[in-house]
Amino acid sequence: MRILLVEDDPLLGDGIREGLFDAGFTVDWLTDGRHADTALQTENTFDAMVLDLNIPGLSGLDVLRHLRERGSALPVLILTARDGVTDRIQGLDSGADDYLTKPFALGELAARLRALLRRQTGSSSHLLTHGDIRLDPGRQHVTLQGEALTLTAREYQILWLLLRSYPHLLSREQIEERLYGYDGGTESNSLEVHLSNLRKKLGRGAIVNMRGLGWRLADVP
Amino acid sequence: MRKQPLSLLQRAALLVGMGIFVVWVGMMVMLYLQVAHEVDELHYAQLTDFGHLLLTHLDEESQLPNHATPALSSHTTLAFALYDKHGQLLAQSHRIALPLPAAGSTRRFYDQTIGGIVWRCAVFTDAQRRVVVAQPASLRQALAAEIAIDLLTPIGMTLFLLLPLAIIALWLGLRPLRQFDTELDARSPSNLAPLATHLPAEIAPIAVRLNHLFARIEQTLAREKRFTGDAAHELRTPIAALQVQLEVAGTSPRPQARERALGKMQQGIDRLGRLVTQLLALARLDDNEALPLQRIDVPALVKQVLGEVDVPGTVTLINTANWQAEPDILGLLLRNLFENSKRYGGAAARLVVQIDGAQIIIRDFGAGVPSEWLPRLGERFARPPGQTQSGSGLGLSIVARAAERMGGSVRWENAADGGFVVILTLQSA
Repeated sequence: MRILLVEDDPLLGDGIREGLFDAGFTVDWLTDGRHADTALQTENTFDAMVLDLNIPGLSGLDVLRHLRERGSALPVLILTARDGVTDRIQGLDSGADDYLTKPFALGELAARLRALLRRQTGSSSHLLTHGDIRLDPGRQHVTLQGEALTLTAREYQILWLLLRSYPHLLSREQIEERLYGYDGGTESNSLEVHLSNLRKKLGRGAIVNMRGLGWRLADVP
Repeated sequence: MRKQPLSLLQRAALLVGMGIFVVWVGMMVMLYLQVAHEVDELHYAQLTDFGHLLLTHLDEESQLPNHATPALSSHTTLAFALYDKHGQLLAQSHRIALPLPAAGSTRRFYDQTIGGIVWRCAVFTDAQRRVVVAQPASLRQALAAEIAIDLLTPIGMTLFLLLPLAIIALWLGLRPLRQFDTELDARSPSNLAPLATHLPAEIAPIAVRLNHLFARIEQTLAREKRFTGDAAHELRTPIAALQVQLEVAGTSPRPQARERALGKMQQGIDRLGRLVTQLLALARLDDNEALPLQRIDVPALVKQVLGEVDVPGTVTLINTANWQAEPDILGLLLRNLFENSKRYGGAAARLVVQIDGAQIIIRDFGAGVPSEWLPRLGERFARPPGQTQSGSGLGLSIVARAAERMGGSVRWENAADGGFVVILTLQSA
């Protein structure tokens, strides 16, 4: 789950990045509205955006307006210090999907992001299920045939991506971008290692690999 | 206890009443004098007629009953005495004969006191005789007074009837003032909308002045409100940062992330503390009454503050002056300037301070400020974009406000060869 965070305050941005990482998100953090605008035009692998309205370069509302003018349906959560009703209305009318007023709890930010992502897939349940696999994004908890499954953070993120994109294939680039963000992967074969470990835990045939194209979950019989 | 001043109505009524009284007394005096004059003329005419009548109808043969003549008194309405050309008394109306005027007197009318009573006398002469006719002067005075009083009574009553009418008229005339008062009284304290100035000329200036005052109060309130709003807004982000870092420090499964978050929290608390200190400084600059300026040893103060802020700097005294400032405020101003330079002056921040009379030039060797941002720097919470250093955007507004408060001025610019230059001008005697 790749999140674009646009926040100019160094301490707040850092805290959000760390907190969301712990909640299972991959966070790309930009501090300038213009850079965010460019990133949104060139990248299409973000799953959601957390946008501060009061940012240098280009205001948050302008970034949002440009995004919607380009026809993007990317879920956007606005962060702002202004809590007036008119400010909230303006933010939502400019195309935001949700709104959080500073100060806020990290847990709430993560929960709202998960809710936005769930709505994005058209699912009313907060659980992602596929056959015997059941993933609870709120608790970052996975069960297989009702039994709890212990996954590393990366394995969890890959599984979440596969569940969300099923029945479509996910390419290596798509997975790596969402997994590592702008920071890039550590080693070129690390994705294979994570996938191999995940296969071991889910069962041999759970993940289908189409050579050169990518991966997806196996169809449920 | 101070005496309550008279109301406008009381004051006006008193003045009108006094005016009426003065007019009435004046009329009384004039009327009496006029009537007395008319009565005099009447009496002279009467005496003249009487004198001629006597000369025409009395002759030597006329027998006058001397024994029956009454005494002269103030009740006598008319008396006479007839003399021959030698001054021999021929006839008299009363027991005591009216004497002839002193020899050589040519006046026809004269006053004479006989038996304690002033008589108005007239003397008439024909070929053989002279006749003196007289009336008591008091008779004429009494008549004049009686006529004057008869005339003045209705006039006086009319004048004093005027007083209540005048009071009613004044009361009605003061109605716009009362309406104005009612409007002011009914105003809520938050209503600073201008008053209607379509008012009588006497009150309109008050309304205009009040409107000026309202406008000024409104500006002050709006400024305060904006500042409070801005301050609340500016406090939210540092608090949000602290809260988020606290959550990471408390809940992250990664030990190194928890430890890092604690360090970040320390930074956040420092920043919040600085912001609150600056907000308080600004509030004090705005609220407190300016103190009288004192003589300040500027070079010593500059060196002291440089030491406190712990930033290296050279101080050059080009020209000395008798600097006038508030010591605490000037210290606050310099501290904010030096802290700014320390924070934005780059890794090896240093300062050059030149003191040239009233002018103090402070420059650092940092990156300066984007030129389009220079005019906005004194605004509260204004920060140029792309700042990596945490700052409140209050430092230079504190500097500007402090300089203004001490009757000085401050401006800033980018040095031609890089760095930020602040030119502070103080009052000097």
